[in-house]
Amino acid sequence: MWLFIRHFHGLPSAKKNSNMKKPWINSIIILCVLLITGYARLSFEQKLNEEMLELKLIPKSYDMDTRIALKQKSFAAGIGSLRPTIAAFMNVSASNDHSKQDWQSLESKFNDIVLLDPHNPYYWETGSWHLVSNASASSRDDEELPEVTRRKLYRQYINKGTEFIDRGIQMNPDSWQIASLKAKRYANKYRLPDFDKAADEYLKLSKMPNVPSFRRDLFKRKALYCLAKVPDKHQEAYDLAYKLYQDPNNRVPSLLNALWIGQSHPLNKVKHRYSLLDIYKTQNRAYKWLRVKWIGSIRHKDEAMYGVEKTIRGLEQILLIPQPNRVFPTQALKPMFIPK
Amino acid sequence: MIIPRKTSFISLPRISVIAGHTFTQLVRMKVFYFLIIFAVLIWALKQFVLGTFTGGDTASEQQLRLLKSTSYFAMNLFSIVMAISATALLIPKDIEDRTLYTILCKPVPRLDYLIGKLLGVLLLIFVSLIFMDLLLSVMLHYNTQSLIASEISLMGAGGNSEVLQERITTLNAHGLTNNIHYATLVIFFKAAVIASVALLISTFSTSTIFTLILTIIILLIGMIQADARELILKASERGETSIISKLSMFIVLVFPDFQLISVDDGVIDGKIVPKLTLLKITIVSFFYVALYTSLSWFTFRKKEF
Repeated sequence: MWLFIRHFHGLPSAKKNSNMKKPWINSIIILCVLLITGYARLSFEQKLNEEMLELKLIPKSYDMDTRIALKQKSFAAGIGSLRPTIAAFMNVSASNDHSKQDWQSLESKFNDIVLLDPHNPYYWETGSWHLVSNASASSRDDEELPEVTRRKLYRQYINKGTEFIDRGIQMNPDSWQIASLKAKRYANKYRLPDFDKAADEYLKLSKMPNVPSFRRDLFKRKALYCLAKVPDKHQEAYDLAYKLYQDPNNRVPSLLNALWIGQSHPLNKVKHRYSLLDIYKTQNRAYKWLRVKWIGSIRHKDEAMYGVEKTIRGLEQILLIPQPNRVFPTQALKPMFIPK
Repeated sequence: MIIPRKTSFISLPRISVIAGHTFTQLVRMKVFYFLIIFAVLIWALKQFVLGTFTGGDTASEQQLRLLKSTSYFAMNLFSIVMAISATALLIPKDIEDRTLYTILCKPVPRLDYLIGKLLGVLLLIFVSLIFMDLLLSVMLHYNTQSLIASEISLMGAGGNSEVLQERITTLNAHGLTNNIHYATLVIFFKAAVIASVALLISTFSTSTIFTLILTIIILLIGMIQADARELILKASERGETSIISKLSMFIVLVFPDFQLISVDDGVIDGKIVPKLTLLKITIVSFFYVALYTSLSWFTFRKKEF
């Protein structure tokens, strides 16, 4: 090594210089100083490193598997601040895969992107959206594939998207934004929904420490709306609706409807039966909001609507709603156009 | 009887003259052209890339994140390249131009010469980083305000005021704060440490290429130094003493930890840099600079040319 250094910096040879040992002594002294000062700074640096990791000012080191997965990019990403830049440009490239419907390439790119910029909720959200919504639907609608393969790929991409979100939660346990993706995924009625799990996830979200208060209430209400869609959980849905109703800030139309439906369910143990006017304050408002709920439920067919039809019929009579505007007209409507 | 004038060990006027001369020398090498490239990079980013982030709840702050990450990458690149190449060139160029002989034959202590040269390089990097930080701050402020304005116009009419407030707080956290300048300052500290390492190597090497290669190797080792430290701690917890753990120990003790002198990743994520942490990073950086400069002087003090 020393010969190598001497070759490069042209140190005088032993024959020419009687002080030949001096460079050696200098090198040994320098090395000793570095070792001693290195030992002295070790604990301070370790504590500072832990402090900076806790403050999330520096990223965690990659493990061997991650380095292998990232290939050459891990080397480039070692330079501070280059990771988010590479991730951003890969995201642009992934959007081209979306246009070309090259889902395998897109999936691979997003796996790398989230390794490069793991604390960015945007990439977890976009990656899971591509897998759960786009890749699954595209595979299901690909007429070149046999029916069995299409169905298999559809499920496979939805599961991959769910696993992708799980990885995001594992890497960012404090991020409610990433945790909310899982609840949204299960509550998505077009992609193999599981409203029971969605309700659980929303309730977990509402208990996370760093969630803004208005979002906490929102997550509780979303848990209620998901529970209301689970046939066996009508009692839990009613109990939650009753509990949330006690806070005046929660009294939004959907929650009032859920409470009305819950207390109208024949199998529910009702804690306190509120009157229609207690809940909705006026009959007009009750009619307006229940009507919206009923029309929506006909469209989606995803929820039992105990007591709603009867209430609407009654209100239409009391409020003298004109026959053409009624949800349940009592007279046959006159045809507006008579063909010749 | 002639009484020789006593030369003080360190003289600030002497150091400032050498630093000023080094700065002028480097400015004449047209290094400031990089600033034009930086400005063009920021402009191109705004024109062609920032608009590609669409959809999702957090799309708008991505623009600010990308602006910060690209700017910090350019700052890192410029300061590292300048710190290594300019410092590696200093002594060989002075020998080649024979300027070194005219300086050292005067009553100029070699420590003054080394500190002056180092400060000249650091001054150049500092001025450049100030310019880049200024440009980043202007762009960041302008973009944050325009994003807030678009959020208000989107959600303002009949929207949830709490959601709007949350969005504004998030955008402001990613926008122009003191943390932006702290990150630039830490980039400067990192450049200072790299420059002092290059100075140390250049004192025992007369080949610029050797200095460049060795400094880059030390820089790369310094970037994974935290991994080596973790390996040692894990090995010591298990009571292991393998060759790898001994080698890791050597790396940890001898090489600087460049990962510690970096907060830009956190600032890009919108994290806050506490002043106490910044102070600790400053102490670590000054310690490294002082150590390597002292060792440079130790090697250089009796070097014959």
